[in-house]
Amino acid sequence: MYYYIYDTFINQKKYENSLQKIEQSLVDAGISGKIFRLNVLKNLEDIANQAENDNIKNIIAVGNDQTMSKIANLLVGKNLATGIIPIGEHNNFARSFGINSSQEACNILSKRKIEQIDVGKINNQYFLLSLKSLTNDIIFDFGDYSISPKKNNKSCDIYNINPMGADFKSNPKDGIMEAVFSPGQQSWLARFLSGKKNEIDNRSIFPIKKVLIRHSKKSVLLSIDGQKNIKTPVEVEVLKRKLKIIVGKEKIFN
Amino acid sequence: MFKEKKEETIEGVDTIIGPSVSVDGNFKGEGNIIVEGELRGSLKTNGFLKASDSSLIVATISADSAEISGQISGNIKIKNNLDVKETAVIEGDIETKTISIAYGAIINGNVKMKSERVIKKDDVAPATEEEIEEK
Repeated sequence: MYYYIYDTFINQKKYENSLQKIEQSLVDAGISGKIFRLNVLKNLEDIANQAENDNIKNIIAVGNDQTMSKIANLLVGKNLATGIIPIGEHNNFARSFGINSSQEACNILSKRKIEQIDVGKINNQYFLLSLKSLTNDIIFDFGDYSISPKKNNKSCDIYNINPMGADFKSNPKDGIMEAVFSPGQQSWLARFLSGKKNEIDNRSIFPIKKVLIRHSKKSVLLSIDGQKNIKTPVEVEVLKRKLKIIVGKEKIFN
Repeated sequence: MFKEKKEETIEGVDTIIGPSVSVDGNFKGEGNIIVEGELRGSLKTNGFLKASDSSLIVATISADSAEISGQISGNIKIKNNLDVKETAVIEGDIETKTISIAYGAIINGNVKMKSERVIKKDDVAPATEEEIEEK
């Protein structure tokens, strides 16, 4: 049986038709279930606990990245699978899991192909996709050694899944994340002298299992899955295959 | 682990220390490493090390095999083959099983080869008195 958690924003009138179609598709696929509409009084943690008590195996987010992020944070390490029916904008999670539309999602959910994926732990929160910092005032401290970006560096990211990257993929099932340091744009002369065509060729990539990210001067903000920010210092750790996700054939990882 | 783009150049690379970062301390890699930036301290891997011509390494190095094109200050210990390219500048002692050194490479230090082949004393016959007189 399935629990469906509707995010608050899909109460808007413009999503009314979409929701009706989704609900009909779920009935047709034989996977209709109990619907919970999020509001200030409805605690997600209570719903997750109720699902466990009711022996429910699937909790599905109906919404966008923010909805999925909130639900995934509660289900890490639990014997519950989660999935998403994307609605509205900002659906990197759905795309990463091979779900390109809400109608497609209903078919995928009914097939219930499950992958157990790694989860990133940052202090006491979790992330599925990435961490991002747009400042260089940051140090990756591994205990035995540390990595510091130079002035010519533009961004520092940690990837579990890279939803945007056609040129760089991270495998969320290997127990390892990748820290990627990307330099800023170089002059044509610098590119000519180095023999590198573009900045991608100058990236640094480090495998990561556990790292302390700290600042050198002022505390900096890291973006968690593009949803919320956290201030340094933070401890980041990979939890191997701690979340069950329902995926489609076109998922962006193997 | 990451694949895709870098596989075009070297298969199975696990770490790339690019030109926009510096690494300080005792870096230990599990696999193949490319260094294009700065590293200070020590570098140890059971895989292949490629230090490109833009690399600046001030560290002791230990690797299974290596290709050096950049600047290294520190002792180098290679289990199998060391390939020193023409742009390499090495200030330190080298210990390796086999080595190739390109014309133009600079090495300031001792080179010790850990080869199974040794010069047998019996193979070198002592010079006769006539040969000595001729000299």
